[in-house]
Amino acid sequence: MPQKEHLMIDRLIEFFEEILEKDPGQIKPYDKFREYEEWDSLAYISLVTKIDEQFDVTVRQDDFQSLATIDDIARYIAKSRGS
Amino acid sequence: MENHSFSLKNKNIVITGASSGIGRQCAVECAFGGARVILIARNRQNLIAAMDDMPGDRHIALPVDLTEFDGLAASIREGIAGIEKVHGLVHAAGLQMTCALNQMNIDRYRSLFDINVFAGLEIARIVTHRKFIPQDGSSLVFISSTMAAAGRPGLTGYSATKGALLSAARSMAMELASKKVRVNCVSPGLIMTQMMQDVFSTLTPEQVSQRRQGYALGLGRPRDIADACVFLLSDAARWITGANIPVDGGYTAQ
Repeated sequence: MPQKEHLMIDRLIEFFEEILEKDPGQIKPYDKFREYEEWDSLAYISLVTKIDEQFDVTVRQDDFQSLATIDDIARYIAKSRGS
Repeated sequence: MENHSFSLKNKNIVITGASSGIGRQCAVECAFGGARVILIARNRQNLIAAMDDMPGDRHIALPVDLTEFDGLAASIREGIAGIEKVHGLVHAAGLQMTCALNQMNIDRYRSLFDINVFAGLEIARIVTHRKFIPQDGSSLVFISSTMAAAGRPGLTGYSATKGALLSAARSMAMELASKKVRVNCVSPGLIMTQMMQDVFSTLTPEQVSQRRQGYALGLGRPRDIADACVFLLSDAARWITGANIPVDGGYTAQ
């Protein structure tokens, strides 16, 4: 996996920790994030807002439905940015 | 309709947020009611486009950023220098933000309060200066929201601003009654404006379905709100002040 994608996953994990108020180490790249007890519609809005602000990527709602893990999200962002 | 109490003939009405959504519709309906409208929004071209839908040719487009508070009073006074009196104001400019409490911060609260509340209160201060109030008084209308009375996750900041408008309007109504200035709010439910369609585009189908629930008469149109504003601006509402009219298809009746 490219270094940039690793960094992106780290940032996404930070987002999830902040949004879901999880302690460091509780979020893993291959976790199915929809299975987190704290995941809800507002968390979704918070996440796509953060991705938009921090990575300048607008996540289409249809696309998001197909993403299951944080690793998936990182790959989606990388692809959207053409990197 | 010249002498009809619902007419706005010979009235000068200031409308903020007049380039889109509810504000734009208010401008159109006021113009159809016979008013000369002073349209305020940031973008001149959008204001000109709004004026294309309005009958009459004496309307004024005033491109102003309502959150640039330092120069706001001067800009407004300069813009309305050509008209002697202001018979009404609709503060429809506003920002909607869905954001979890743990993602809110002072900048976000400030951006909401700047446009939704402070800008409206500033414009009210300016247009209720003694020299602008007609002999028969004037009418101020603030666009609040059903979300001032009901709660929804993610709307802490937005609800706070819309509740602030309701509270401010009541005190303003009491303070300005002696000048024959009436102050009221209209609280829209879910209106399918472009802004709302943009919000919907970020939601899941389940969320969209959830948002549509509770409207006994279905979702609203900008015209539904504009018609209520025209009524409050007209002489037909001469004995109404400090009030809030929910225009929400029954949402808050439950």
